[in-house]
Amino acid sequence: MKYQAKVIIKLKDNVKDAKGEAISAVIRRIGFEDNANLRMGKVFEFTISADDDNAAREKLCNIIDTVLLNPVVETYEILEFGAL
Amino acid sequence: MNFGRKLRAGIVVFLGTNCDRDTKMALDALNFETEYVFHTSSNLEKYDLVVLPGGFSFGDYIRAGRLAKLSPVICALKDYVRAKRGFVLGICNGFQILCEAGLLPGALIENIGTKFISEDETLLFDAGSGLEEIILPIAHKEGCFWLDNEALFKVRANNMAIIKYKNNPNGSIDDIAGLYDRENKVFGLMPHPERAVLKSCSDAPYLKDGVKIFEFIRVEILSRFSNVTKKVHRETFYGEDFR
Repeated sequence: MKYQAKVIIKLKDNVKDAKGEAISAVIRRIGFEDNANLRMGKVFEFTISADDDNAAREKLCNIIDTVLLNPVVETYEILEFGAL
Repeated sequence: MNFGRKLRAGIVVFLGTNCDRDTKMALDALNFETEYVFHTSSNLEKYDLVVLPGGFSFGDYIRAGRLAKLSPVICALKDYVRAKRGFVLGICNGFQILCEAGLLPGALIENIGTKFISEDETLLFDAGSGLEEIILPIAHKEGCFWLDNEALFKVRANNMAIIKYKNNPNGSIDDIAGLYDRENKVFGLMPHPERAVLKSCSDAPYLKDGVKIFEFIRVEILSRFSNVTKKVHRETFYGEDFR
């Protein structure tokens, strides 16, 4: 079976997001919002092949933990995950 | 002290590594026998020193060092460290890879000012006999060292932060420019010692403090093979390039 996953990886709340702060400063400078407190993340969309839901979820977690995520400074949220 | 042969250094090359040649030139000048090791290699057995040089391995895609840590050579490197075979040095992107691979604690994130910094930086280096001020070039955008309080406690307790910024340019916690795991002989640092060895690499007065870093490494390697004291043996292995 094929599954589609969409995951966002972003810096933990207690880690300084220099990019986010720089972007927030521009948003403030051009007058759109004074306190955007923007934080940036990365969205990964990918397909997983597995026999059942449990196997697919295990594969998803392995991909996140091994390839996508640095647990020292990052956290993640699974935005979408389901069978195609 | 005559070790009987030159120390052998393997310089790992990932796709996107670009400081391999400078590293080889510096180590050759310092009397190491050097070879390039491609990232697909899984045999590091013959090297006394394995170097992960600077650059942009795998384009820094996802995070700097993230994809490189999944290369076969890093799996071999973990075996190399477990076997206590020799010394591992990670420079700049190499330090990032070591952190991503879990061979050193912490992580490197974007510089606090979001800018790429290219400067000759004053550092405080403790090779074991007190702090010494040295100057090494830095060139990085993701050089801000970060780790949580629990890991920081261990770093401090084990005196791992042997090289620190005198005037922190990038927001690194505790001004940490590099870490040394004495037990496993794994040393990672953001500054570039290989760019402060040869006269041809910098303007006058040319930087040569990189020699001190490699001297320290040389003694640490030799201490694994014998009861060499930490006193540096100033053998005549300096070439004319340094005078």
